[in-house]
Amino acid sequence: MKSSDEMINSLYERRDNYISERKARNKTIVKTVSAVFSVCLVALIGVGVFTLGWFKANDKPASPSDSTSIIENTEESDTADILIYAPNHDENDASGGIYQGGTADSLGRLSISGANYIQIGTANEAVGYTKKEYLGKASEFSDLYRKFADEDGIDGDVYSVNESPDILLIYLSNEGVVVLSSETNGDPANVLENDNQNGGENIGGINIPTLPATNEIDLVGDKITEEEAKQYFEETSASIISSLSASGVEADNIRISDTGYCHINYDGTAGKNLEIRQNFRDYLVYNGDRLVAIVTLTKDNGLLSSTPAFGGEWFDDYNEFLKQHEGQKLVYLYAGWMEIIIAPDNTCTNPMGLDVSEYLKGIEDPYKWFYNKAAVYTP
Amino acid sequence: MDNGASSYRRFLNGDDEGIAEIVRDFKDGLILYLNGYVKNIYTAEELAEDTFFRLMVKRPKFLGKSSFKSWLYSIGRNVAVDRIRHDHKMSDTPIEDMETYLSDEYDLERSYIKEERKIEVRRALDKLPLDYRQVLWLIYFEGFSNAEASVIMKKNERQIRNLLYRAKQSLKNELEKEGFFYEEF
Repeated sequence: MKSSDEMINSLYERRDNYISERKARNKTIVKTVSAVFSVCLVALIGVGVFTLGWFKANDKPASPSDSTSIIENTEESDTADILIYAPNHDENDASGGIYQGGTADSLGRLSISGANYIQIGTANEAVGYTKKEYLGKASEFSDLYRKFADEDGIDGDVYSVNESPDILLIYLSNEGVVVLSSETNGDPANVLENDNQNGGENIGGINIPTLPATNEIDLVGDKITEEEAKQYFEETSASIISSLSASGVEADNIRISDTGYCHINYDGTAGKNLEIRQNFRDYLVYNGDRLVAIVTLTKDNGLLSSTPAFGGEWFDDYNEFLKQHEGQKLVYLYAGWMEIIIAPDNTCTNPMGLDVSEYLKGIEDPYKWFYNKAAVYTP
Repeated sequence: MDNGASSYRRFLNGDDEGIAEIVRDFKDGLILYLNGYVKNIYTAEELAEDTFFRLMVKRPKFLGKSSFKSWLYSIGRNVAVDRIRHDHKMSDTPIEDMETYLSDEYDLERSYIKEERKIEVRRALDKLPLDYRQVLWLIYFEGFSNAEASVIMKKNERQIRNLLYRAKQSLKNELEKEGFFYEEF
């Protein structure tokens, strides 16, 4: 294990790499955007020249070297860098150019109705968001953008987005796009980085996806049949046992469940039904009578592959749950990322021991509401 | 050692020694806490490093609504839950590394916990469900209050009290099975 000093050095190294990668990525984007901007500029000048009739006055074709020089100059333009990416540091800053969420010197800030938003990304990050409502000009909400507008003639249109109330987009008049996030959205003590944000309630930092209005279920994906699974396991059981052994799991008496199960999925997306992905199917792996792993079979273009999740003693509680409900039809769900198993008496569990009590609150009889024979397993 | 908040403030103002102090002061406890989630001391070490890394590159604001330590542990918890959700894999230590793994885990707990009696209790925690382990670790080993534990575990204080009661009962049973008797449980 690392000593404190080794961990500190490792952190410094990781930060340096992170900064280098960010700089390299930003540079690439700046060059691309600048080049596109320059081409547009050249085209605009060309149209202007043509419209004004300069060709007729001078009757001399534009030299190719002229337009080349314009592009090269623009690529090196500091203005484009500042306006699109709003760096918030100088070269001597220890942060070395990474985004400093929450620090006082952050540029790319905006304040709307008392809420503060900070720049978290540019065109790359904007891809995942769609415009919802036009809120006004960026210069109306921020001294910084007013400065850009006054000094450089570049303002932006601010929009809310459909995907999150905490995100704003600014479409700059120089073609750049800026993504901002509300300050409260950024505290990593409250927010799980990869949490589902499609829709739902955030309880204790974990997003609880909103349930669809009805329990109608869409069956999607290329169905994995039990026969296919059986044949797959017959062919690959040796490598599964070998993987289990290599991971420290006792594997001297391995048995894979005869039947598997799919899950009912929902992620809070408005208007989307419950969904069963028939091309994802879990199988339980026992050593003797102890549950030691769960293997997920997936089918893609007709081909099966497997992903084992080794649990060891982590699955003991789940195994106990299965024993307690032997002979009963259990219903399997994925509420966002959270796996939930519901017994007919409406007791719930999660294979890894995570607390799922908040997820099904408000449903009178979750077992009945979700029940679908395609997502059932009988231990 | 300060409470971490001033070190963090100095780090935000450009002094890298601030983050180094935080790593020195909180690393071992955070690793043992995260080990409760992932049950693999090496993964827990990676997660602890990821937690510090998140502080370094995202530089989030510490608003002082809780102690710095409980805020840091909350971030660590989220890092761990993110990892669990994505990896869906609890323990992948190759069997040939298990001996070193256990030795490293025991060395770390000895240097952090020190009291032999508490070490026995800590090992008994491994046999309890996740929530029980978490609440007992935070309150009995880290000295957090119920309120602080509720912030870290994202539960209300009433839930923490109930959880603590059930966890103590469960631990007591576990210890009795091993032949230990502790009046405080």
